[in-house]
Amino acid sequence: MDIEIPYNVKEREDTGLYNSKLGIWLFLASEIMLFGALFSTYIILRTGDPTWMLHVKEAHLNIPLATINTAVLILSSVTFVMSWVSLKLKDLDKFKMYMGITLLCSIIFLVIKYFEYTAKFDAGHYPSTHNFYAVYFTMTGLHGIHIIGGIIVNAYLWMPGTKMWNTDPERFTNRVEVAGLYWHFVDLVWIFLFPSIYLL
Amino acid sequence: MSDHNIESHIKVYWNVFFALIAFTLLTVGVSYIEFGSVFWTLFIGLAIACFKGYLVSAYFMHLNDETQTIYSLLGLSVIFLAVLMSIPMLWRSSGESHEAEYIQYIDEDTEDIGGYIIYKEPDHDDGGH
Repeated sequence: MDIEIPYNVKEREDTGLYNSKLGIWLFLASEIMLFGALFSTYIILRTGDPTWMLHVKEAHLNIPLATINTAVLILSSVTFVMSWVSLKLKDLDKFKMYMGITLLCSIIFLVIKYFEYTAKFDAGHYPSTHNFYAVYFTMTGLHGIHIIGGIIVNAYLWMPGTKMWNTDPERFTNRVEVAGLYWHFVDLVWIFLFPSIYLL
Repeated sequence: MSDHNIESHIKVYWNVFFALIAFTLLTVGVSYIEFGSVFWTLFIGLAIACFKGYLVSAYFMHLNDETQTIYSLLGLSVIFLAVLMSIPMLWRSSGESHEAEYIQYIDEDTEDIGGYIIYKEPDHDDGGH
């Protein structure tokens, strides 16, 4: 017997939202706490160590590569929102194209991150080297794990998940919107990580 | 959303994208400028990041047009975030400063730029000689 899950498409009267949208916002609220705690720790460690900036200088962080990565992630955000708009316009082919670009951008981001990390390891810089590297690897690493999580969900929506479009297009569009909210949040975190770790 | 509405939204999304790229380049640009004090360097850098964050959340995440439920939920998050961010202000340093110097060198063979840090022992001058 199929059980109909309520409020997948229809909005609840009390919240004014369909359930998965409320769910993703509750999850993002917890994510704000997670990254907030890490940023708070970063401030404490940085302000407590007078040699901090010397280690930053020694690390030779690759600002041009990180800038390209920022642009790549911003591009992936706009292509994601365009993929959702394409579904609103009932154009599945355009959805596939924009979601494909989003996935490509996310993979480029990870490849650049791989080159950045290997350069650090080759120079003998590990999380245990100094608190700066501990912060650098923990925060960018956790962000990278979020990117991987996003890729898994987005790839599902891009390929096998698309079959829902034929049976329940509104629900599929909502799934894409919810995945998009997560993806934009990951972009948002990077917008703060990039200047605070690489530039300031 | 009507088709006309969607068309105007698409224009906004791309304008936000170009603004975000421009502000990213601005952030990188200003990081090379000496503002004379750490406060202004941090303030300007973080102000640009906050504005970029506003653009993403307001337009891509549609927070400029959301329900009261989400605003209330995020309001609560912001309060707790403020508590988290105020923790570093309660923290006191040990007061012991470690002097250190960064020595940079260029490897003659590979022309790689390297460097190391020399720590100096802190002076424990407690006034008693």
